[in-house]
Amino acid sequence: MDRREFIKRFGSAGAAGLLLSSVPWLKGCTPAGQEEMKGGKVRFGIIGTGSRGRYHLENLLKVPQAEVVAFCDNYRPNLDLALSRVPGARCFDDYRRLLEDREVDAVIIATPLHLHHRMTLDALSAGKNVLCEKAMAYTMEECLDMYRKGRASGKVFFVGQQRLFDAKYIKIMDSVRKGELGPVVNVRNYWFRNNDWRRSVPSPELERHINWRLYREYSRGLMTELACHQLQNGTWAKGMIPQQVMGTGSLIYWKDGREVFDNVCTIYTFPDGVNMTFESVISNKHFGMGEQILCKDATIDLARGRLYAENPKPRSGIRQLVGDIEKGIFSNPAFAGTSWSAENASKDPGVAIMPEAVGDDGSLSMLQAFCHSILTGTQPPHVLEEAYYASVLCLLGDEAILQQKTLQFPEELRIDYI
Amino acid sequence: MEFVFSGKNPDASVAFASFPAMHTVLEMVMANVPEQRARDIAASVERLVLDIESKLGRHSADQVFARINASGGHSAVAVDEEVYSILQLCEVFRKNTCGYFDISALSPVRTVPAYRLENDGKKVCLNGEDVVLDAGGFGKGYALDRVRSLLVESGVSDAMLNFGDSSVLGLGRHPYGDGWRAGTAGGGSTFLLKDSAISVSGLSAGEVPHIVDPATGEMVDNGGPVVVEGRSAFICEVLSTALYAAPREMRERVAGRFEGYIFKVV
Repeated sequence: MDRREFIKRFGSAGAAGLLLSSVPWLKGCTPAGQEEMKGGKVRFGIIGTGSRGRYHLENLLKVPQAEVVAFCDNYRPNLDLALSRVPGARCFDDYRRLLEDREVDAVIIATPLHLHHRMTLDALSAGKNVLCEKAMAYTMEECLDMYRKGRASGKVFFVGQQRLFDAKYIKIMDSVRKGELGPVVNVRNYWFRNNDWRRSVPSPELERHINWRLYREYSRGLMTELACHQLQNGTWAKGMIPQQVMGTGSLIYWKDGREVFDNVCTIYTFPDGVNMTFESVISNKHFGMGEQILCKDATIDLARGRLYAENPKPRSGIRQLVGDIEKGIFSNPAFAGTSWSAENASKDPGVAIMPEAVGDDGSLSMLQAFCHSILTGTQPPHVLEEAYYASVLCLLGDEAILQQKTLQFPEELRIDYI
Repeated sequence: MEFVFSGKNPDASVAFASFPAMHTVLEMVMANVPEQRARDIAASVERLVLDIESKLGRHSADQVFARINASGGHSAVAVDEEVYSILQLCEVFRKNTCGYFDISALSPVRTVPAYRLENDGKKVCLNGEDVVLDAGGFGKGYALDRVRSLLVESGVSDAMLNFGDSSVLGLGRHPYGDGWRAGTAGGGSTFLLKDSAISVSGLSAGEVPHIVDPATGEMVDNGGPVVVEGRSAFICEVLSTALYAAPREMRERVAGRFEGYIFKVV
């Protein structure tokens, strides 16, 4: 792709609509998909009304085909917060009672990680369509179990990997998979924060209940809560899964009784030798969150939504002379300066992957797509498979850290996808 | 190569060509040259410049300067007439700039002179094992002079050439002007190029020093960039490199040795 095509494809607005219509799992976001859903309604129950569950609730309230009819949480303050948004909804403190509710078509499971497996299987058995938060489950074997049972259930089963529904990710991954930016040579993911990752606890006995992310019994820490989103980038971009992972992790700052690491560093290696890293530290936030795909001809900065050509155009005004002469103008192009060199890539502002404003990070589109799938009775391709591998990879990374070994991807966990 | 042709203006057609070379990009605008002719000329220019790069480059083993550097002074390296002449001129320029233009400035150990030429067989031999010859301070200007000759021989009378923003050459005139205008990127200075060139050396805001004072071997940070204007793009680049490396009090003295060339700090 030459420079002009590069700009045309990525630096110009108007591509989003075309793009959405070409992605099967986003059909629900297109006018045709909306038409298919016309008059339909999906009745939702939300299991887990903590911050993530309520985030989904706010998005569901924007989806015309969604009706929230029930909530479940065993922590009353969170349940009350959700109820304040939908005062007529039925409330439960045991998810099994919610699953018995025949007026619920679909559930969103936004509970601590260790509960995902059991709750999802029970929901599918109860005939509910399921959207489970990521990571899928606490162990790789549970993920496989959920995947198989989800596929066999005939119900719609999504996992909350919202990047799959983010227009800029879809657009750029399409180009990467077509080889338009050259082969992928590296994938870099990082997530840096500077906070203790704690929620306030009204009384000590609720510590493990509320701060479940910090305890091994319930959570795999940074790998399942953060890496899961980002590791998907590598498999999505390359169309293959890593064959091995090595990693390390430790507690270096937040030594407050937590059981999960506060910094991790992992390297995943694909069969062709390309590496993908995930690094996270929660005692320094300077570099923030980054997801970068390095191709031979371009660098993709997904967090900033920008694309940088390896050989960017120099800052030059001489091209302006073409337009000037066309118009009969003798202007003063100001371009002379110290040498521009291709190595000065850091000065290149790049181009926006998706110039038109796209406010949604994929979460709203994911719910629209979920409703469309339920109302049309179709499990869209790729959605569950991509989520499955993302979860297995983050769990495999955590295993590598714990065992202090380089681990191969277990063949028995490979599914009929890639 | 990128090539754009516009005949929208019936009174003045314009062709634009651009290609990467010498770690940067050469851009050229030709006025009133028919499209196919302009395309052919642009291709010839690209071949010429890449050929020059193959001689003056030092980063690939098959480039001539790279071969000379690799010899480490242990043996003389045979070069063609062009490289031989360039090396002769560079030594003349070194002496005429009080040593502030020195193509061996990047060498870890200063050796003066850095090389000797053997006319018999057209050979060059480095005078030290660690001598590094680098064309960064003149290569683009030299190439522009060669391109100018090619354009003139090809019947092109009006063209503007920009090599990496730092070396600019105007041939003939803009269809609607009496030369070609080139302003400095930060504003403030404009040059009207009429069969003449400018070269810019130094540091723009935020840039890391990259010009070496040959006398000390230290990277130079001598304030704002120096622009030299004159007939030859080659000499403009030699002189701008030397003047930026030289202490300010030396600049007038050095520049005074190059009649027809003026400098300005921008």
